[in-house]
Amino acid sequence: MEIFTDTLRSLIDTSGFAAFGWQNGVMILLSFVLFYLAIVKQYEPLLMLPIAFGMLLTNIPLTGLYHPELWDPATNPYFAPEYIEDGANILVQFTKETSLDYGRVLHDGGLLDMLYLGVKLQIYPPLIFLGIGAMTDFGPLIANPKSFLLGAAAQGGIFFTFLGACMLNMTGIADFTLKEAASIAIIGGADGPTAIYLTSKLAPQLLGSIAVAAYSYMALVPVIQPPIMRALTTKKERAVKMGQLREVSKLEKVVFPIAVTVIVSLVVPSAAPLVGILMFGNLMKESGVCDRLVKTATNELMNIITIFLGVTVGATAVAENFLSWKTIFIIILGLIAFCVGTACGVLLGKLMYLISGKKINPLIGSAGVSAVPMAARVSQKEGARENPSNFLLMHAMGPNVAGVIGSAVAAGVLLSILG
Amino acid sequence: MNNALILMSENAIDRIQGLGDAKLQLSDPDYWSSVGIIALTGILVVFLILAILIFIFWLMGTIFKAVDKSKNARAEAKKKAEAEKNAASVQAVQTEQAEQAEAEEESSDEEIVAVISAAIAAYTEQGFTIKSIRKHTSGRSAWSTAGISENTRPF
Repeated sequence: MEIFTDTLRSLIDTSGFAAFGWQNGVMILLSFVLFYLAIVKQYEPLLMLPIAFGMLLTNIPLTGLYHPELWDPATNPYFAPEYIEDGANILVQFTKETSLDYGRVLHDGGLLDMLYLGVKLQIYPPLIFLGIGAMTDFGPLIANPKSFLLGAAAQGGIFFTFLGACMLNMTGIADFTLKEAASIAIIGGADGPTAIYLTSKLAPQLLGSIAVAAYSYMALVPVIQPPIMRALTTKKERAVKMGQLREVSKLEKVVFPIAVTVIVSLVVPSAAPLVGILMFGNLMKESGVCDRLVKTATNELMNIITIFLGVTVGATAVAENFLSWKTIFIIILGLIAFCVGTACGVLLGKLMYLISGKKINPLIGSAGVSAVPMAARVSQKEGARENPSNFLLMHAMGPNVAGVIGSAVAAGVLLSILG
Repeated sequence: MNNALILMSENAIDRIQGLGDAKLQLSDPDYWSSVGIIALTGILVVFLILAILIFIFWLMGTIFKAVDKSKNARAEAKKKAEAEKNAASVQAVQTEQAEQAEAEEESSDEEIVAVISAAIAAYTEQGFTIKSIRKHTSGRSAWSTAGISENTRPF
């Protein structure tokens, strides 16, 4: 009988209930909220669902799937060995480095730790970009290169939010380091993989909240953008019809990814992993000779990476990182970043409307905040509301795909200054 | 240009970053100038790169347009000549068609002949003559042939 009670007690002690704290409860409830957003509201469900499940798994105690302490150089530092020859003996001297010890991760890590290596080592976001590149048609951008300007203007939200996060420090209610401020600001790029790429390098402790904020706002683009677009434009401007885009030859489409890669990588080398791989995917598509590879990059590979990325990013949302005031500020600042980015795009669109002699519809400016193709669809819808025979979709795709390049470049710049 | 900007602020930014804690960073006298420089550099570099790309693709676009124009002019002249030629060959087809119709159980429907010759004209863009049109009867269907070639094509 005693043996039986002992066994039962030890079973209870090793069960999740023994180590269950209120923080775990709150985090698990939060993951249920995300399940609701993903399944019922269908907010970017392909990513939100894996993120929510990762969050659920990681917050059930003692599962050993993910160990946050392994990913912090403070608790898992790397000691670099140095070999000193002393006669017949060799002495080993260890120096503490600022990086973490990947050997211990491989030795002690759980399933999600292993998959998280792909986030930490910046493997997944570029691979997602490979698929995005292979699915994107840069034709509208080549036909109207001026769209690049709108894609650049919409990145204004990123840098405005960077200033905003630093100013929030001044008030004393938040304390974001420069790296954290930059990671929050990149939400304004409206590009999930870019945000994850930059955050995993600069402020991995905020990865969970930044990814959730970025993907939620991307799903909310049709709600966030229209009021701003309407407030900043007049009825007459919104009704502007744009002339048909010229046809783009195959040669131009093949030259485009090569030229973009060379120029961007030369000026901002740290943007090369994102922009370079994006353009590689696009070249595979436009060359028309790698059909099988394009199929894999846009389907199987991308789906596999999306699962790994979502579930591990969700797993980083452990209570000690997520349940803090910082998360709330991230959500507010992320929204500001989105709104300011949209406004900057529309305002430059207005300027181009005036300069071009009322030929450019300022509504296409808001599509400069990547979020492909949702933002372009919003421009189309708003234009058609004013004038049902107005078709802005292809015109808005130009700034839209330029925004992808723009936010990747912005991430590269922030990385080269702060990384 | 942007490199100079980065260099100018590098020391201060590195020093501030070295402080680690956000509160210590804020107390650094160069904090706000560094923050301003980072934001300004960022947006300038983004605009600079995209401006370079605009210039290159604008240049490329004008070159291609010019090339297309001269090509189109030549192509149009060629098309005119071809159109005359084609008209003649289609007539020839129809007469031949009529002669062979009974012997080989060919399709004598004029519309089908017109569709087939139009399709070939669109595909080849050259002068041609259709000698006979025969119904395909034996062997695999087009779908199963496509299926086989899809599954047996080497990597």
